[in-house]
Amino acid sequence: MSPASAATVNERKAAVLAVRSLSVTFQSPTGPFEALRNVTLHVRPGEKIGLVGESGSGKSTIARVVLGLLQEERDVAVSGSVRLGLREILGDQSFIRESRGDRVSMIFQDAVSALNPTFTIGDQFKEVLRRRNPTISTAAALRRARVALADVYLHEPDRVLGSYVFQLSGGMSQRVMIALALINDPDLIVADEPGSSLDVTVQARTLHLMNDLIGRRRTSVMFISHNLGVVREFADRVYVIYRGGIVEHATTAQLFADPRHPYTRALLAAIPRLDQRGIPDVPETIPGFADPLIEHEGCEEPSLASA
Amino acid sequence: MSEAFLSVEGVTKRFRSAGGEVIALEDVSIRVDHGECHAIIGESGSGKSTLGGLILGLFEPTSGSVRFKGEILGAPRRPLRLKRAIQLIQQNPLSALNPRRTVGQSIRLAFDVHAIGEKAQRGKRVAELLGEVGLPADYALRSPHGLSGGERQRVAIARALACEPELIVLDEPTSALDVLVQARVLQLLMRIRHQHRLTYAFITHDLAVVRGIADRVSVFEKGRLVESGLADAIFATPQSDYTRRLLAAVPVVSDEEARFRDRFRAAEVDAEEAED
Repeated sequence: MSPASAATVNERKAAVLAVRSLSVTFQSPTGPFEALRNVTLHVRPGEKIGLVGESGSGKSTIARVVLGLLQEERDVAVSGSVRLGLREILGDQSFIRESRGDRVSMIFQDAVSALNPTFTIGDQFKEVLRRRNPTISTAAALRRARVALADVYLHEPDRVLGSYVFQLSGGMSQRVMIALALINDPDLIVADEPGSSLDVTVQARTLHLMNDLIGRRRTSVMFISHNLGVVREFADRVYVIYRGGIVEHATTAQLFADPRHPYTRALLAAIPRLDQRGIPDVPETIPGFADPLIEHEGCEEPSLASA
Repeated sequence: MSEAFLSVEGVTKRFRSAGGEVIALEDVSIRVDHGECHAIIGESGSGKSTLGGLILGLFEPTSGSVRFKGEILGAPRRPLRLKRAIQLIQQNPLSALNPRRTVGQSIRLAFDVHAIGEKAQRGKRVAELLGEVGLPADYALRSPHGLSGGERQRVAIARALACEPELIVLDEPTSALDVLVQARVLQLLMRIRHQHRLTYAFITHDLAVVRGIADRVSVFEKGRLVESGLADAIFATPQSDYTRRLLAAVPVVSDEEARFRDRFRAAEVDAEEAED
């Protein structure tokens, strides 16, 4: 796709999520810590974007801002703009609180601790469905939940609905969380390291399942991971984040065929490969990690007016 | 056949649990040669960490035996020389390093316990070991809490080396590390293996790491050994469906790697649907 045609696409469709110049600073006893620095990104309808970085890079901080969770904490300064659709959420906590679980939902790394241990799975479905439709009857909610569980290949819906999370395996809990995240047909799913606490075979199945369901509904996803391989299989477009700043933005194909930022190149070079003996040599210091953002062709951020 | 450096012979290990008995390992036999890096692969519940525990003497096999250079390795009252010869490096080094001791004290303890070298020389040896794992000598005075994950793992490596071991059991030593740090620590582990003529039993779930470092591979599933052999052979033509399934599930970062992996995928579609 030429840069020109990509820009037209950008302008035609309003972004589901548009983050502009987002900065986050934590106040700590040892002084201020800048967790995010001038982060700009967007997610278009039906698009799966990957946000990839190492631990401490700030990728999960972005997720918490988008979900409105960080703004509820003390000793945090947040500036910039975060829009869900056309609505600004910074400074509007009531809107994001109502949207969470409904217009925006989340899938976390560890489903077992993300699900409420004191309610049955059935009760959790009811609660989430009532965020969209406060008057839905218990019978109707459980009917919807059974269909949603069948979609994630959980074949004994009544047993699952009557269970507490500790009675389910890690893989089953992860599927329940996916079903819960999708049940209100949200505009955006924020998936933070989904499945990374599971065994590789279970993780692969879970990701395929999630990909399949999201693809069918054309739900937009912000997919956060430290694992470049997982991002490569899942995302259409990727932002690489290093120490609180986006350093590279490319389509998935562009990024893996032609990584340009010194940090991205170092990350890709350091990953052990299934088809190669030996361990890559990674120098103790690599110059250029602090270099400015590199945007690939067609990946310019849409202007504020069109977003 | 020559005497194996480390051999596991018909080992079964059962644990009592609230609900009855769990068979963690069932009739497992493997052989580890001197100087090799032997990867022990499996998912959770495969028995791979139980095998590590048996080698380290954390518990006894229910039946069968583990031999180190011909000598049966028991658990209770294992002689100090065997404890010294077989060391552990684990996933979370913080749990292996006493938070009340400085880095230098933790390393030096190994010299004192095993009476290694002359007392007057031990401080100097600590500095040498820190240098060998790529840390400045003044790290001896620091607390493990103030270190990064990679630095802690380097300290754990130095502490293991202080014992002048022959065999090191590595239990997911880089799984908690970021990718750049992981590569540096794996490089270090490979270098000291050659320099010190060490043998590794490398427990991991990460097949790309295994391809990078292992000479031989043993694959475990639900307490059973499903396959054991040269790494080159297992990655070229895995014999077990389970090994193929593991290979097929690995997320990859290049088209060549995807082509390599996808050879194992075709047969897996049916198996996936049948699972859980």
